[in-house]
Amino acid sequence: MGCEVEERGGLVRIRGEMTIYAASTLARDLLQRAADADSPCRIDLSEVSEIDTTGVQILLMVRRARSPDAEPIEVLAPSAAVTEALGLLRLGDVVGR
Amino acid sequence: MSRDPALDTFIAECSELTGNMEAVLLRCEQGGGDPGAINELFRAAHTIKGSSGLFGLDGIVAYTHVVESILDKAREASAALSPELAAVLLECLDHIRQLVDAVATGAESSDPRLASAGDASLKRLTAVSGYAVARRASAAPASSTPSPAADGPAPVDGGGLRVGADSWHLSVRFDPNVLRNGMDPLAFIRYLTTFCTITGLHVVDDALPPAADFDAEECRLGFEIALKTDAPKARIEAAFEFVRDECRLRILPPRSLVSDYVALIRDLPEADGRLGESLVRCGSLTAQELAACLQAQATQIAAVGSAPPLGAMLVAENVIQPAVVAAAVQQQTEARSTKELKTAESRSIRVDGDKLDRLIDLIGELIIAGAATGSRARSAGLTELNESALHLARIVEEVRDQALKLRVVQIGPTFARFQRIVRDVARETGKEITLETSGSETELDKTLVERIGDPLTHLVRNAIDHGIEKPEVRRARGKPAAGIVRLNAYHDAGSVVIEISDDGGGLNRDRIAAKAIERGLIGSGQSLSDPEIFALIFEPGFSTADQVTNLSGRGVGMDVVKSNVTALRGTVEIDSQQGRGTQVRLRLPLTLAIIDGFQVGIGASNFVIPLDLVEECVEMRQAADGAAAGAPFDHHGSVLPLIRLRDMFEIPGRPERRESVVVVRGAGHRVGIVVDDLLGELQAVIKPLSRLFKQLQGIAGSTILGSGRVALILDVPGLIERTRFASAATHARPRSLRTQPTED
Amino acid sequence: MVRNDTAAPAPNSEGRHDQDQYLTFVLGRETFALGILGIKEILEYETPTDVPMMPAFVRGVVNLRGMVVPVIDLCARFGRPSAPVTKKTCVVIVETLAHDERQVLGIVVDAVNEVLVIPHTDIEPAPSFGSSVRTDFIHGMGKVRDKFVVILNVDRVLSIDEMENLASVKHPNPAATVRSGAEGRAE
Repeated sequence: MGCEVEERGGLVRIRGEMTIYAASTLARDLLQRAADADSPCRIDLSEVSEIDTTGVQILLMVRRARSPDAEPIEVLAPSAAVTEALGLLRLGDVVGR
Repeated sequence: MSRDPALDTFIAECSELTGNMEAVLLRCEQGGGDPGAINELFRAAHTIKGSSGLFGLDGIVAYTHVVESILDKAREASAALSPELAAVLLECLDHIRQLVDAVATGAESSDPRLASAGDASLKRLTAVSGYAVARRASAAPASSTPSPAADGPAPVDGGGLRVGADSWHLSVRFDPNVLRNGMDPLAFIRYLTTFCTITGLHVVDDALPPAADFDAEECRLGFEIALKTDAPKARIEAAFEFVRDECRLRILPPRSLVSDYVALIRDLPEADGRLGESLVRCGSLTAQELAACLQAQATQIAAVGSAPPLGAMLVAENVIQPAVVAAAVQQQTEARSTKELKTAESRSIRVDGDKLDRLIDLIGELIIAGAATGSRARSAGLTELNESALHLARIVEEVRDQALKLRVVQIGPTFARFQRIVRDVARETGKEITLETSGSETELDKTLVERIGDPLTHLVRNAIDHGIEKPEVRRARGKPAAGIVRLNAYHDAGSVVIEISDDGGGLNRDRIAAKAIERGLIGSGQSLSDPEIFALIFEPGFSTADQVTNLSGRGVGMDVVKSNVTALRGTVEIDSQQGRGTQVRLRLPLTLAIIDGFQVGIGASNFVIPLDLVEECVEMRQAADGAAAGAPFDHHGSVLPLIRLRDMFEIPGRPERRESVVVVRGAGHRVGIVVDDLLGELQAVIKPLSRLFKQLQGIAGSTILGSGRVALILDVPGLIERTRFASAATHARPRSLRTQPTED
Repeated sequence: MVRNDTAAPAPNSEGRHDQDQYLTFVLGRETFALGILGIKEILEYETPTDVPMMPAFVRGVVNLRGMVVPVIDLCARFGRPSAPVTKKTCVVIVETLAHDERQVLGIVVDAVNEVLVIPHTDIEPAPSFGSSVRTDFIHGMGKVRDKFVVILNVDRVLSIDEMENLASVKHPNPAATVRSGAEGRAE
């Protein structure tokens, strides 16, 4: 049920279920980081066990929240669940820079 | 003019949509706009545009498109809706209303004055908003930019042309709450893959708000999906069964017409260009087909009248049946969903006003026929027949009551309209006005509501124009800068009372009296009470304003207000305190059509008194001879003034037996009407009297008795007023003015 | 309840147009005519319901199949004494158009005579004086078999505006018109 955000060495790792249950908190956290134009934002999705539409929506929002002047967000290492979902929705370009 | 009923629905729904938009804009103008306001306005404008397109109303489509596009840019930029922008948008809203009115009345759609007014308002909108929107179509035939279709073979209406893709196209938009309700769009799409092959998909993210407004639990994504399957359409739809109520699903079969895609593009909430891209991205349209779609739209907008309207075209191609068009229009408004709104709409139905009137007429005839049957039954003396007739009469009475209830509406919406009027008039006059309303749930007959609108409007404008002072003057007088106009409505003794009051400067009694003397309406030596002086302003041509203002002094004056109210069998009272304010009170009968009456006889004449006003009937114990008109009568220990209709109406003959007194209540007074015979209750279908009898004070109308004879209905407030003034004037007027001798 | 008297057209009429046809009727000892276009029907006389406070020319109102119609006494309208009611007395129901409003009124006549065709070439203008009826009430003088028939101008005779004014003078509304010594017409 849980979802944790862990930061280690400039990398933000999301662990657990990126679903509606944690959506609000997760969104607030990630959007804050995205809005911080001075720090790089690298999001590691390797340990996301499950993702639903809210999770996808958050990923889309995070990209939009990034200022064009700041260093682009990097979304990397999508887990199997994330790959499947993004593939289904033809949102492959969410991953990467 | 007979008209497609779907068009009637469109017009009614435009009216609701523009009404909602107006309310939002008025709030924004007063600084109370919320962040969702622009979105709401955008959606409403988009819905109007879409529906207009279905009916081929290209003028409305073109105009609304610009407004919608500017709103779209504003919401994308998260701009706030400033009061200045709100004011311009109100202008544009008015223009949209005029365009819809032109459709409703069947007026020429290419009225040049209307068109140039429209252009001017759009220019202002562009200037104030700071956004420029390229018009979809340039009206000028000589265009510097060659349009692709000018050379290409793409037909003007895309008519008959089908897209190349042989996949289904599915367009899905979910309700924002779908996620909270436990549904996951991803899951439904995944399910589709179990019996379809998704050949293309595009996630539409236009509705994602700015980060500050983002609610992660709301679904703001839409999906355009191209898929191939052997399954029938029903199966595809069934895949979304569990979210049927929380999504908008549009399905286009393989090899659909280009015009279908045009309709889809128009229909969806996102901006057309973005949608087009979406459709290309998922492969349902090629880039060239998209160009053809957009060109088809643009050409239709430019060439007003020369291309067949989209609706007719679609119908002609047997693609959409008229009923489906109506259904589509219906669905548009459902998109404007809050659950509450949906529930309210489903609890009520629209009824044609004419049909309702016809029903009431028939019930009127039923009542008369029933009364005739009843009296014949009574004279035949057959008990069982009599019982049947009574039973019938009771049922007919119930039917009458229920039918009349159908015609009854609350006055609230009428009062609400005045927010806009007050705002406009306040601006024009440079005054600050607050409108307060109370009693909006007060109910009255639908016809009354329609006909009281104009007099009310005039009275409100008058209160603002002549009553409320300019802010500087008010401050100097120690009043708050903003004046108050108050609308109040309530029921009182069988009438509806509507009060219009203001806290302005009040009426200048002396100036009115002076003007009246100048015009020969009264003599210089006469002393009249304040209410009598104030009542003079209802005389034709009377206006004490120093300049006839644009708003109220045009000759559409207080006399017209009074005659309108009198035509409705109502009365007007006016009171005022200098420096403090004025109150106008309109008293109107609750229903125009059928009333319960009490029949009385005087000499050979029969009259009917509205039963609502009758308190009781008493035998006259005092001697009738020598009693003067208006002489007091002891009634339960207090004094009751009397009205002798025999004298007032000059009915020949003398009373042959003991008279009776019918105690009635009207216009805030209690009075006794002296009659010979008490003839019982009846239902009176009110038949209007010829204009010939318009100035008769004391007679409200006529009715037809069971015998077929006509009986006159008494206007009790009118009789009371007549008596009061007659007795007040008795002391003021010289004797030679009396037109009839009285018994003193 | 309805009497219909129609007569054969005059022998040398060139074709029957409704606007050339006139109903003739008797008031006292004189015969008058009214164009039939405005005439809706003719009823047997029944005592109208009296409407109080109205001038003598308003006899009252009657029930015409559910519509309440005022009945005008033309003799009184012309300022002459009314004749008593006989078996021949009728009420002619007339429809006029005033200010785009349809008005339906009844007029009491002592007897109804034939319908005549009077081509407009046989109609001469009203005399400027000497006629027994107000000049503006006369549409023209129709020549019938060497005699003249007064053709009434129904819109003036039954002018709602004028009759309404006369009614309000008779019984001014005391609340609004407290005039200083003004008698007679308010115009």
